[in-house]
Amino acid sequence: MIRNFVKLLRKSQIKRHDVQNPAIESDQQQMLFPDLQQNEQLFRSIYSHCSDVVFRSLVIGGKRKALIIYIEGLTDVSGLDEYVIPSLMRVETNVPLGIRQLIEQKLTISNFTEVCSFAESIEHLSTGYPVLLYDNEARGFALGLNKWEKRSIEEPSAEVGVRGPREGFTETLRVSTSQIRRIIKSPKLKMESMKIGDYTQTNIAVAYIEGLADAGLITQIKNRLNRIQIDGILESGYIEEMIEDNPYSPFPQLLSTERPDVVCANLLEGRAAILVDGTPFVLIAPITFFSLMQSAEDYYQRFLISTVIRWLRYAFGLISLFLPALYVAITTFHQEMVPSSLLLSMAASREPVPFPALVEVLIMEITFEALREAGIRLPKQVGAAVSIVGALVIGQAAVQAGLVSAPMLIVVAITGIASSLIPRYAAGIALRMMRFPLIFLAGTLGLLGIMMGIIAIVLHLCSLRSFGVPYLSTVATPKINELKDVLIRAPLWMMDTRPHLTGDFNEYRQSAGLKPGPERDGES
Amino acid sequence: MEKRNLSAFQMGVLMYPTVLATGFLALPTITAQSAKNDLWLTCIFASFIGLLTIYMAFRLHELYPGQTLVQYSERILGKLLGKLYIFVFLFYILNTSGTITRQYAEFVKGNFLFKTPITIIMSFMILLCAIAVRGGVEMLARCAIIFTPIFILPLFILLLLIPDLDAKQIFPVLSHGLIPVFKGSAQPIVWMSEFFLISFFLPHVSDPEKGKKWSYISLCSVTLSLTYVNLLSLFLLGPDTGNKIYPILVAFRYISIGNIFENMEALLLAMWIVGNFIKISAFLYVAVHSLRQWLHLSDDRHITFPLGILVVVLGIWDLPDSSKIGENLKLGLILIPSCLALIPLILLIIAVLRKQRTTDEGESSL
Repeated sequence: MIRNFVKLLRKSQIKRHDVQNPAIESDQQQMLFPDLQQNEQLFRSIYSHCSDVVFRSLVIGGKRKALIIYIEGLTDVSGLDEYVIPSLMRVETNVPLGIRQLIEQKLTISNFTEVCSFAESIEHLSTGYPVLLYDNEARGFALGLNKWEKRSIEEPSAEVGVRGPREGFTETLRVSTSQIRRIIKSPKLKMESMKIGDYTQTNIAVAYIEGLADAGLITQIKNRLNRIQIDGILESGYIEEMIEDNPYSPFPQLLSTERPDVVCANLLEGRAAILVDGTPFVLIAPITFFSLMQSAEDYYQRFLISTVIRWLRYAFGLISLFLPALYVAITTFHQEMVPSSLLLSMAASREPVPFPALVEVLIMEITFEALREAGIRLPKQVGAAVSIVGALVIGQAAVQAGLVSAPMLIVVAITGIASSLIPRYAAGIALRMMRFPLIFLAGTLGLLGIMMGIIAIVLHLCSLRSFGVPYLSTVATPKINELKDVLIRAPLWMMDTRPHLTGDFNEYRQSAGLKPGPERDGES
Repeated sequence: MEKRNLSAFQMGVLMYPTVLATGFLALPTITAQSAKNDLWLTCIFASFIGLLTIYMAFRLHELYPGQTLVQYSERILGKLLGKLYIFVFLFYILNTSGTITRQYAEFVKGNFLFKTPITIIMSFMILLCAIAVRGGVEMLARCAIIFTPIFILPLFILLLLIPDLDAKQIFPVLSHGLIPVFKGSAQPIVWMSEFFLISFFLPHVSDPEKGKKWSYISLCSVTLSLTYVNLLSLFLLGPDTGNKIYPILVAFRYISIGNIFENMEALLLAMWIVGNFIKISAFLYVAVHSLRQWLHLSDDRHITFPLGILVVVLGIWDLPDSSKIGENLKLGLILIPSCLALIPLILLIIAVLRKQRTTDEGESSL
């Protein structure tokens, strides 16, 4: 009933979104004129007050007038200087060539595209391609000479590991796609691109491996992307928020990663990747909760070590969620659970503290979160000092002032360390934030409150879907074959099958019987 | 409308806490009062009724595939009588849900949260259960699979009591004869007949052939667990088992390993809460869907929360304290098995006779 009421309210407020793109005006739909003068006039008026747009007029072969328009900073000016302008200017006078033959025969560049309308020319100009216009021709040519300043390939700062490649994506889409192509060389790796964003016209590429990814999944992703009408896409986070299944959930339903090897591993399992120009973070869909708890390094180390570290990660994930709440519940309601020797020292240290456990824990947890956020933004030299030493000093001073108790400080410190163990920042922060309602529940209803909180969280997780795949799919709908990658990290020679995501899937990824041993038959 | 998205394994796992959650806490006392030191036999005898109940549910599902009790009882008994039966059944389910919620809250309030009003404890649980039921049967099943290990684990921790157990308490076996054992079996029959709730989940199971196997496995696990719990209480407390309200609570309190692992009843609380969450959700699901099918409603979302409130009210109404619950349970000895085991048996007999009659007529018309 409340939902109907809200719908009624919303209907009266909805403004129909303007279907036409406001960023491109109507006269730009115009086709190019045959007259060079008219073209130049219209281009100058479109790009009025743009000081970085350069118009270079030429005379080709002494007779025909031509015009090159380019945006300084986006174009490879030295290429223009060395290859385009000399070869055009050295064309012999009396050879009657159409512009296309001219370019095919005389122009020594690797790539060009024909443009017929102003909108197309603007599209190419804004990507850095210079546009060559010819007198008495109602078409122009965009030359493939774009170059701009970009960051070199560095190690991703958020996803560091001991073993594994140290390359990360960069902000340029073509470089990112090239990094993926270098790893997956098969022509079945498809990259479908589209432009989203009225003013930014950001290039988005959807990468998938044909035959491994379900065609229905790709269609669904493309439909959702086409549905987006927004004036600018600045980061893949915008795309993520616009296409996810459950926008109100604290848990991410798409994985974002900076590493090409993570993207390729997921592509090989049948998932799809969404690359966005302008950000090194690539989105992967569909995922389950356990994808968020895995790190790439799990698969590069040997399986026993990885299994133990995975268990450690699960245990500390639970600790980061429950430890402060358990502390509050036990010290407030269930003191009998504490071993008697520990109980005496805890009671003694909590003696001078004027607050109940709930308030004490909330003060310290909120302070810790604030310190952590501040540590991200502080300059490097100050940051290290403040975050480690400062936290300890502040904590110690608080204990001595009698504001908090020492066991409390240990609980907060362990919780802080625990939440850093979760490999994906988005999942870690989701678990961190859910600590606070659990602390409130623990302070009011004790262990009952914590169990209620657990049930509520599990209920929420069970209802989440990521592009049709249930979020807890491997555990909640048990699939024995996939459990060996969730509960433990099975050795690589045992992982014969791919996880089943949606629709049809390609089951086998390696042949059976790959277990290594000292002597195989026929070898010595 | 009925999407088949539950696997038989999920249904089997769902039934385990549905039956066991209140059983392991309340049953040792009640059976000890009748059967004394033969209480471990009572559950084994009661499990035969459970076998019968599961067999009935599956047979009725075979005769009327894709339909639940509500739909085929109209077919079997005729429209008027069928609707009347479901009316009674609905009230039975709601009343039982109320009693279960009240039992759950009584244990929590009496042993852990002494000052919290009981209505709050009940309402909180019903709120979560109603949210689960709104999510549909697959949400219920997924939660069941995640919570059942948490439910089973503390039972293994009870094995830490082995040094304190006295196995000689089991002797003399059957010294009072079999009659007290049968008397003691009356109570577990109430719990075992709850297996009939399978008939509400069967239409959603995608592989019903395996359903029988997993239901029987579920029944065996329940019987084993109940026998294990009964034996444990017997070995620990001896003849005193019938005097304690919750022998398992005593067992958990008794655990003491090296002065560190003491007072484990918080574990019992955790186990009790998740088990009851699944149990109350299952009963609430049955109630909501019975009402929906009885009234031929298109959507169950509007009636879930109101039925939840009704369950809370029914849990408080006419039950001033926990001793009254015990009294009511004695009444329940008659009511519950009849609704869940006896009348479906009658339904099954009528259905089989009807089918025979139609096949006879069919043959004779050839």
